[in-house]
Amino acid sequence: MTTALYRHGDVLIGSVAALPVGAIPQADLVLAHGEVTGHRHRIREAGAARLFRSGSSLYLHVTAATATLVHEEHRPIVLPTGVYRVWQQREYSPEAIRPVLD
Amino acid sequence: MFRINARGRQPARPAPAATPLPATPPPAALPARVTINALGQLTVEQLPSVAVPLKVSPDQVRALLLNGPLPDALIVTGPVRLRGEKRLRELPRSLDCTHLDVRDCPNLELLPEHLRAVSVRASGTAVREVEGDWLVREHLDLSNNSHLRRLPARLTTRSLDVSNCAQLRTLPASLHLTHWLEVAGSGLTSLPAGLRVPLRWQGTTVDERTAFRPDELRAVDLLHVRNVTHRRVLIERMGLERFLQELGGLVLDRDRDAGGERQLLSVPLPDDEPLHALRVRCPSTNHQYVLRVPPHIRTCRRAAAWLAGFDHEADYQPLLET
Repeated sequence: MTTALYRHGDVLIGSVAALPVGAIPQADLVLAHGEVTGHRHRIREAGAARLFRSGSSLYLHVTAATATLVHEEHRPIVLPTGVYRVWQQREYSPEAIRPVLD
Repeated sequence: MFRINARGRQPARPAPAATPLPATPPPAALPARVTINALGQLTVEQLPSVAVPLKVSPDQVRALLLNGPLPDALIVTGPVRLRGEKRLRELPRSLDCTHLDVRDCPNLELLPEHLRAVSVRASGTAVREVEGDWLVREHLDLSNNSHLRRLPARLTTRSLDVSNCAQLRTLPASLHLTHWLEVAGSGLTSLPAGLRVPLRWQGTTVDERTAFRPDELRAVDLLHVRNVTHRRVLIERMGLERFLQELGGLVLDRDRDAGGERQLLSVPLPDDEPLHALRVRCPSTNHQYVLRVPPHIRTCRRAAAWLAGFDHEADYQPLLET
């Protein structure tokens, strides 16, 4: 259960207590790519946060006082220090439940 | 034919900076077109003389184009960057450069008749007609030219953006385009015969029916399109009202979130489970989306929570949605 939840378009960010053990740091700060438009949900300030992957889950560790989540179309969201899990909206179809494709 | 933007109607264009013709040239030295009319009479039409191009560096080009005198033919050994320049009214008749950026030059009316460039960004100008021969090796952006009616008869480029050129009704028959054509909000209703190129609408690849014949789109087909961005374009092209009208479903619930009113729609489908979808509006872009949810869901709140990954609506209480 998350305690602070944000929605940035089809990307959801929810605070969690800590990074999972063994989470692997990622090279960039892109939370999600738009498949069609090429737009990106990303952290604007380099050095303010790090992304981690644990299995199929993505985590964001905001290390600065704040980090700004930006996108070409959506208004920015300022995230305070903390650890967050990142996931995408899902969508139903009779065949399968799938993440929303942006 | 009367042409609003024909160069011949412009007040005197400054004389070419380069070598003018001798005072009394031999007649054969002038370029001319010889034709025979229906009565068998010979006519000789003198063609405009071609000046020797002036060659300048990118550092010099701004002062030259803004302060003049404007050369008839210009070669720039690099990019021409004049974005947002209100003083710019015309470009040389012939221009050769790497990148040409004249975006948001609100008084720019005359583009070159002969252009060679790697890329051209010329959106948001006052251009009405472009004539002649253009070769742009990469991208040509002519979007948001609300008065643009005509493109060069000979035009070759990799990709072309004519979005929001509402007055542009046709493309040149000999247009050569290899990668894509962006047409959202243009006046185009078809492609020239023989032109086969991927079409885009607001950056999304669409077919000719979506771009030019949206009245043929059907709502149920659209809901089966998986990509929500693609589906949004299809719904916008079809028209949301018709889309919802065609669904013929029930509004099971309605409430409000950060984007305004949202509705939970239920559409019975023959030989299938009912289709339940939440119609929402993005609070940032104001675009509307229709997102399918499981058929057991009966409220908007429950549907929004399910889309966000929660099975219980009490668990989905975002602090901020943008």
